[in-house]
Amino acid sequence: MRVRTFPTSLSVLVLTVGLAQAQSLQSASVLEFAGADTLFVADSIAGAIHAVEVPDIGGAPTEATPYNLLGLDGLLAEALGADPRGFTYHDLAVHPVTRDAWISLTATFNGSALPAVVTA
Amino acid sequence: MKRDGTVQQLDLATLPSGTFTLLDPADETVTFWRDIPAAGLPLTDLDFVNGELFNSGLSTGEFASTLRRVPVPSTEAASSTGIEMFHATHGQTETRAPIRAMTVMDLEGVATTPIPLSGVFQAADHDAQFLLMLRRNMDTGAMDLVSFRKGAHFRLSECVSEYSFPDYVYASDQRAEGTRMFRNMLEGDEGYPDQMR
Repeated sequence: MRVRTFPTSLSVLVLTVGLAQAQSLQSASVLEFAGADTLFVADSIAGAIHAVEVPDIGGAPTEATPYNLLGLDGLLAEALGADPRGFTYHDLAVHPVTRDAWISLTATFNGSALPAVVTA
Repeated sequence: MKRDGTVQQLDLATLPSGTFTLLDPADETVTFWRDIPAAGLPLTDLDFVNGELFNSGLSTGEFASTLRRVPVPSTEAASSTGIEMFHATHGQTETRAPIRAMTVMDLEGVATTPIPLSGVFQAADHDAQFLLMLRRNMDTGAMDLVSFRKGAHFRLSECVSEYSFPDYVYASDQRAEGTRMFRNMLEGDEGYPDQMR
């Protein structure tokens, strides 16, 4: 499973799609792809929608490949170094080209809750 | 657990209790999906109605799907019935697919709405063949990220049916062949290519 997070690099990514002011991510709720290169991330706490430029993550799969990830909490906890009991899930979106799953969530690290967007 | 989050431990051994022991649990040598023992499915659901405890599950024998009816508190008059259902989709009468959930009700005037995707938290259109579900696993409590083949409405590996028994033999007609091929496809989808046959 590949995991990418954006809690620290989001401001850079936001700038690349031309928003006037870079913002840090206070929360990650609703996700929506706008084509292959842009992901909208709703920040419900901040009352903002971030447009994130999606990094180059490959092309379309050669065949339909289903997901069979049972126990996502444990997989993410291992990948992120987060508390496996501290996840709150918000939204799921599918990249229109790679068909990868992108999930917005809140993860807990040593008692501190942080928003994240992961792709699995 | 209380509403304020405090947890109290109960020592069940010190509490008044009664036990009804099943007389005909399923065969311990049969397993489904590699590591689910048939013997682990003697009790799939419980309903307590008018002083009787109804329980569904697997027992031994050809009529493995069983509905037991146990009067409470006296259990001496307990009875069990082998369940036989006609499955219209493949034209067979089945005696081994266990009841997984049940409700005892008076059907007069009752409207029902089936909800096949229990625990689904978020869903997305994955591709031309699959729906993608972020869902709470109703058995383990964990969050899963799993695909459902469009039109199937279920994940085969979450069902134990007559086809899962190692000695199940498909009929030789075209309908049975279609069922066999469909099951093989879902087994491949869900990571069980070794169970195709």
